[in-house]
Amino acid sequence: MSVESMSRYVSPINPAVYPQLTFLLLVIGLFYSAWFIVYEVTTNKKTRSIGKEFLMAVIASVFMGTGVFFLLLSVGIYV
Amino acid sequence: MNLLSTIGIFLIVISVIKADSNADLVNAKVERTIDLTSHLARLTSLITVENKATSGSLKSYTYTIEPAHAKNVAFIGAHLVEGKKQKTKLNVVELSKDNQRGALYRVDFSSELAAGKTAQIEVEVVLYDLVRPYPEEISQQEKQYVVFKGNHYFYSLYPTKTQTTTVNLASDKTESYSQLKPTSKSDSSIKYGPYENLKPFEQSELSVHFENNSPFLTVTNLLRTIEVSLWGNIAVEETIDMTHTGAKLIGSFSRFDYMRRQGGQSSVKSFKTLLPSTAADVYYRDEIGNISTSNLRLPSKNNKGEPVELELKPRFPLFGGWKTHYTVGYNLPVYQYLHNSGSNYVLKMKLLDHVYDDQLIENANIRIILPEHASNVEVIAPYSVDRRPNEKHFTYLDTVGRPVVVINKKFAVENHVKDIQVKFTYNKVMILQKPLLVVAFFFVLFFVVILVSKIDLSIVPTPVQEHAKKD
Repeated sequence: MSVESMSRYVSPINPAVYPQLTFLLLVIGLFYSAWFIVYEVTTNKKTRSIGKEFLMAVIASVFMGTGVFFLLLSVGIYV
Repeated sequence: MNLLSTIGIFLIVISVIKADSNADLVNAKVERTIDLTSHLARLTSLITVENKATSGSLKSYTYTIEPAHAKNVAFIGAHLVEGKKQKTKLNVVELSKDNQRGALYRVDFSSELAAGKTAQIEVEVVLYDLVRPYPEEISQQEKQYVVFKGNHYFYSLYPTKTQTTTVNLASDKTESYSQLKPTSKSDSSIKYGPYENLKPFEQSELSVHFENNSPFLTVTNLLRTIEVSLWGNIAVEETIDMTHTGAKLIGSFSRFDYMRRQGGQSSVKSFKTLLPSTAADVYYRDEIGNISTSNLRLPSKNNKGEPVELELKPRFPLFGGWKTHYTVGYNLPVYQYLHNSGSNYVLKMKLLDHVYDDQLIENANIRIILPEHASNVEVIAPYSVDRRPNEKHFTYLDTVGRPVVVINKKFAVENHVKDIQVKFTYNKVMILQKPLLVVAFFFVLFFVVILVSKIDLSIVPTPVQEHAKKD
């Protein structure tokens, strides 16, 4: 297959929005992380609900993970 | 049996020589230009080829380079000249290289040359290491003189009817030049000929000794790394070892005289590198950090396609025999160079790029780092290169390593600035692997916190605290 018949490859997300995306994702991620930590220290073993803990951990890690990933991209570490 | 096979080989050799001599071909008219304005010798020969046979057409023309120059060929290219400006590129194949007849190249005609017809072809040859400084060592005050040795006649497998040679020099100051009548010199060019009715392989030494203060720079080693990221970037980095290969400096170097601009004409203060028009985040550094003496000129808004000009000034002027080492790097947007259709990808970008005008790169190593999990890598090189086995490169967030295409090219000049195509297949889902890796890392972190807070290490069961109970 020749190059002429192919289309130009475009990255899944426009690199121009990486800094804004990083900021947004990290704010949400840090909010959920903070909530998770506050929840962990203000409850004890009896009152803690494993479901709530898990849900917060999942949301926080998804936002923190993608946030840090786009942080790497926006500072120029193109992985 | 042995004798028979020897005779057999001998006959084959004879027939090969006969076949490539194409006895009916004649160089009806040859106009040669030898350009010696830089440290490279550029030979352009405009040849009118005539097929003298009464019947039968010819497929190819054999271009010959004299034995003394055969080892110094950096580039050879041929064009068919059809009109004033119309040129078609012709295929050139190397046939043999020896000390007897020199280097033989086969130039394939785009359409066969019928009996009695003529065609005009233009052959361009770039030779290195032939414009030699003479004297080999000069002091700071002296000017650089160089000597070039060639052939007055057009060295060819075929007889030549009439031939002229024009030698373009870097300056009008000549110490001496060989004279074979008719010879005429005007300013910085010497005209030899016309010489008529030359036999095949005829030689007569041409020698010019003249002043040439053009930058005699040679890149002894070039490491070009191209790192492709599917998240939108191609990072290019070139690490360069450069030597001034002109007349060596003897005696001391006086900075005072140099600043007063007395002497040192052959030294190199700065040079220009052309980067692709979309180059961004350019850096110029060496082992001890950023080299601040550089200028970057972006193309104006009206001519967007123009290259970005990077003017580099090494930390010290380069005199004959002096060396420098530096790194230049920049980023390019991926959409300009990467094409895809489904899971098939093609990276099309320059194998080698411009380093300085009239460049000579002795040894170039090119490493093309493809995205992780790219497979079925296929390389289409624009000219013959030495492809080394693939390597693996590990950097941020890599698990199995990125495949690296390693290419080596010796003695490259500006004519070698051409596109290479690297084909590979890549499963689009794999692009999510890296963000998911970071997500997984964070989740493990939170999960450990959940587990740790569940562990009870106290011997006595802890009583439920009052304030927590109220929550």
